[in-house]
Amino acid sequence: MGRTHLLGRRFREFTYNMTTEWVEEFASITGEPLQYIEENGRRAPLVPESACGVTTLAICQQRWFDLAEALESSWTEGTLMMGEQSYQWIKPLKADYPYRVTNEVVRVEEKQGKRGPFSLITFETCFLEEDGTVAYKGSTSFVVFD
Amino acid sequence: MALDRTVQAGTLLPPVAYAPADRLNMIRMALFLHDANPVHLDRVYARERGFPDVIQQGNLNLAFLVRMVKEWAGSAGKLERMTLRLKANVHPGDVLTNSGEVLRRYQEGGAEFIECAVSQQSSRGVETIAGTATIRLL
Repeated sequence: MGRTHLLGRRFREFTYNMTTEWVEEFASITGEPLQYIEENGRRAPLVPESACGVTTLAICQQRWFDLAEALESSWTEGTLMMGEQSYQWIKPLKADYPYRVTNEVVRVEEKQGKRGPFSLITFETCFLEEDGTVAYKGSTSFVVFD
Repeated sequence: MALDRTVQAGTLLPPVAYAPADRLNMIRMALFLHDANPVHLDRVYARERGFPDVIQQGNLNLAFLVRMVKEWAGSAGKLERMTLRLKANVHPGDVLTNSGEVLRRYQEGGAEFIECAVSQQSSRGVETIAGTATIRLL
């Protein structure tokens, strides 16, 4: 079953805010030291190129819609698997900042593997600042079997 | 040794091992991700599907590798990009060792960059992640 019709599909934009509490708790799992900035009279963690971005990306690719349904597949039936992931830190990510998040299917390749035909679907997520500047970009390729 | 201006192709990113995978952290990650897939949480469910134990979320494995590269770069470099591929599962108790090697040093747009091969190995003797990292020299 080809899935080239998914190419260019955009998902609804939403606002995502990594709260200070979220960043601090995540950093406590990875053991990552945090830097802080003073902004508007309060102290907030700055997360430049942080490992937090890895999980933030995953959250923003999965929380606001059903990824499996969007890709016409199923995690539990084993027809959907994660492939390659790419992260691009363009500007330091900030905690407690309302990023506008976009998600789009940017590539669809039809392939043949040991398990039979599959689609390699690449999904790109952008974090935009209030003026539209891209601060962080990530992509994930998903392997979707028939 | 941390990144400095003498870096060249062949320079190694020394191996860094972090604490063993911990099932409590898998529960915390499941809450972060809103991911209730029992393969990360329920040992019986995971064993019924042929795994020795629950599987640590791939995003947490990736985060440890990102942390290693970022800490190696320190104030001498800015991590610009990483491309990573998950290759094997991680289970409770596994120790993840993260390492790398500089592949090339190059100039682009007036800035200097290095490209590194990066890898994560588990204490089970398998490579769990492979990929590349691009760092801009400061």
